[in-house]
Amino acid sequence: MLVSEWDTQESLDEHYNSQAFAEFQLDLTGLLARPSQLTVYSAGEAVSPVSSLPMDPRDAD
Amino acid sequence: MHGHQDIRELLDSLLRATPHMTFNLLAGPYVIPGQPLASFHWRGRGTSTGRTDPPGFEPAGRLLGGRRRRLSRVPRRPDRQPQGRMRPDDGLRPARTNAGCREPGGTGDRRRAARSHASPARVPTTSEYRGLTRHPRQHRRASAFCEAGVMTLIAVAEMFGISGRRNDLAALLERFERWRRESGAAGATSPPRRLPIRVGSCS
Repeated sequence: MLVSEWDTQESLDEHYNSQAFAEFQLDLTGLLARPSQLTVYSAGEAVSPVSSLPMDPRDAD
Repeated sequence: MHGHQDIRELLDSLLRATPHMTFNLLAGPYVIPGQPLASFHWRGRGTSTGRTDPPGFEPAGRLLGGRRRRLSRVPRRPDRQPQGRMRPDDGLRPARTNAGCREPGGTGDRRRAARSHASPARVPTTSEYRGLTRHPRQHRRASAFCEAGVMTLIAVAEMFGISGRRNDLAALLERFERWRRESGAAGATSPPRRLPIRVGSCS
């Protein structure tokens, strides 16, 4: 499983339309039991949870 | 913020801005053994009806935090960010992009972000920024907030290899990932924000 993160649809398209990717696909011939499956997830929001613990005084200004 | 004088100025400013603010002790005190330090988890509630000076905000005339309630929560210490959002654009506020949030605690990035969005003649100093930005712990929330505006695409490719060709497939993936790193570094193509991560392998 390969996971990659892209900023824009254009950069992702550029990657999958590149010559290097075409050669990569060609080299995959005979290595896979069945065709690979690609899923692209679009994330409009990303958050980083923070600790809900009380503030440590040592973190104060 | 250090000492009685700093706290006095903060509370004076806070009570001028929100004269009817009330405080509730939620938990604490939390004391560090052997050190003259303690913290309290408290919540203040009040309506912004007075001038906040410093930094010089006029009465908001509406609720802190922008919520449609008579009262709004102020976590632990005054959060100046909601009031900052009400101010006219004077070029001092970082833009709502992720440009200023790559290093949430880094003054340098905040200043660079401000410089790119502020008027050329007005670049805020570090001390000005300290007055306009949040507590360092809250910067992490600000970072998450800024990231919310970024559209991210996650591509997941599932590959089902033949067990007898495992080494060949692994070598091919290594070669392809190396090409991605090198071509991205050379600017030959638009690299992904993070290079492909192989989380599994054929068996």
